[in-house]
Amino acid sequence: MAHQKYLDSPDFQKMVSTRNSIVAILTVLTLITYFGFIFLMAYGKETLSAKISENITIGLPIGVAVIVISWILTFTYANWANKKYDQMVEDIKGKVGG
Amino acid sequence: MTTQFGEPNPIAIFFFLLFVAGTLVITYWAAKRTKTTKDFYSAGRSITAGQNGMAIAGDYMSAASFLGIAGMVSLSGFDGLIYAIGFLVGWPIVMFLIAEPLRNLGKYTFSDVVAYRLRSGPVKTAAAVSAVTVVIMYLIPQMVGAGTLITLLLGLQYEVAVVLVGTLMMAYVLFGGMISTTWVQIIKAGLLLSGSTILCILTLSKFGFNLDQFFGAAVQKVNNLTNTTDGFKMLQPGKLLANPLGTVSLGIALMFGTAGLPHILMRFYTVPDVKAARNSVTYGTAWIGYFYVLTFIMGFGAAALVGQDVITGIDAKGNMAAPLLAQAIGGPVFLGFISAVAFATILAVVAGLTLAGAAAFSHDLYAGVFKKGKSTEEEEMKVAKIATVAFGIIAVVLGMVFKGQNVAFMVGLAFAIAASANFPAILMSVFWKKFSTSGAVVAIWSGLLSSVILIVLGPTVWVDILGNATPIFPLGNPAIISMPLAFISGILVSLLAPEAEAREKYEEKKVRLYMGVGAEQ
Repeated sequence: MAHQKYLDSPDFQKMVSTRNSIVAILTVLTLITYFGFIFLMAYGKETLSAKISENITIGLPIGVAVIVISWILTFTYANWANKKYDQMVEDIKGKVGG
Repeated sequence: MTTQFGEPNPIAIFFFLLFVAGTLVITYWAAKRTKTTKDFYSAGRSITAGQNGMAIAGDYMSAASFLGIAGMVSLSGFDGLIYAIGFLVGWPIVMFLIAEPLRNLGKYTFSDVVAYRLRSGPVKTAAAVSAVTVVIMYLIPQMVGAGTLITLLLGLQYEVAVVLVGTLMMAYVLFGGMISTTWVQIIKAGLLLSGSTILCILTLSKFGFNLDQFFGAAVQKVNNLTNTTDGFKMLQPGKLLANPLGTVSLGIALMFGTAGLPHILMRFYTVPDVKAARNSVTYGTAWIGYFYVLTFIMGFGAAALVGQDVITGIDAKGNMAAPLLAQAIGGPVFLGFISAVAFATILAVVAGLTLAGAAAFSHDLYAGVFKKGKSTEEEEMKVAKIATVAFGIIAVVLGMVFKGQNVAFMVGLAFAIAASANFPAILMSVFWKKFSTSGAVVAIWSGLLSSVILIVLGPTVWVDILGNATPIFPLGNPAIISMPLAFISGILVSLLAPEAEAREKYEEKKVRLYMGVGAEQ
């Protein structure tokens, strides 16, 4: 079976575990960022209401920060996958498949 | 301030006709290229990452976000952020967990991925029912919104507007399939993003681009209107999110619902390979995040320059805040442009929804379950076209039936079902070896039924619509219960009734999952 060659290859196993770890870390970071904000909205109203200027509360930059962090996490993954992951896949195809 | 709402606005009609003419030309061009089911469902996998990113943004920025969030911000201020942010943070989740496995393992729909190593019949049936439910729940508010919006903005009759939207959307999908649907989304996204950008720049320029003055003007306007000093509450978390647990539940639905919306997930099959699928999420996330920052500025802009009294005078929920702001800033010409953009927004979203609903019927139920994958290309295409017409008619009828009803809760319900029925099943099928056919079926049905039942027993339906005194289920959004329920029931059933074949096939398909070997071309 063609797939068995891959499954038995240490390179393939390493690639799978690398990808799963990166995905797990980034997912957890996203969840912490978002639910941290949600819990602040739900239970930390005073914290978010602190003024940073006459008419702006700290909640605004925090909200924008959640959007920016979501961008950064998404771009981080895409950048890693485009540069590293695709290369690993090609290497394994060449080594095991060929 | 006087408004021109409810009368025919010649500029809006001009821009609208221009949009319709342009999209129909594209549909004519697309029709000549739509020959196979692959063309019809996935645009022949010929869409580039940049184009698909824009189309994703187009599919996702519905009228609910453009008009709804801007309106909510104009009336409730800071609380509107939970929607704006919740709609965005689903995208990193789609990127990390869903987009690439979906592209590598599936063909046209998300149920392909849930069923890829399980018994197709029961899994695809459950997934298709759930997909159609989500699509219809999403479709109703769009149709009702279209009718109301066009009545207000173009001065047409409600029924005429609903039939017009239904007919145009049917024309796009029936003749041009995914190719014309994609281009309608791209054009609409371009119009919406540029129109909103201009609106925000002009708004902020009134305050010398000084944010403190900008927010201060909104606060001052609320103070003046209410004769209180409550204006500053606009910048604090407040009464919209009075129930903390309800806030968390809504957050769960918004975040994970994105990763289970059938019309969004379908977009990942329109690109040639997994790399393009991944990069299209990057582009889409960038546009969507930018757009939600704009809705926030538009909302506060409307509160400052239009005033909450005028906004609620036109529409109690605040849905006309963005068009009103356009009028206050750019007069009838800009109002006309923004109105046409709002209409284009609805039209594009209903086209995407109809295509996803038709695919659930023709690809999942007819070809996958009824014909067990043995139907011919011509047969499946014919069923897809019949299903498109059926969906168009259903959409128009539902638009008429729900005229004047409070349907805003249905978008929340669509997200709750998507988060509870679709997302857990996709995730477990892709990442958990021991997931079984019975586990998938139970997860989908329990997520679907529990979210529907809890929303009926909750405050929006049980109290506001059915007129009972107190809700049986206290939260407006059921996701905090229904999503864990789907995961737990799916896990328990999979463990209690193990399926050796599903585990073997998981190993077999691992190479395809991680390396794209054998993925649909």
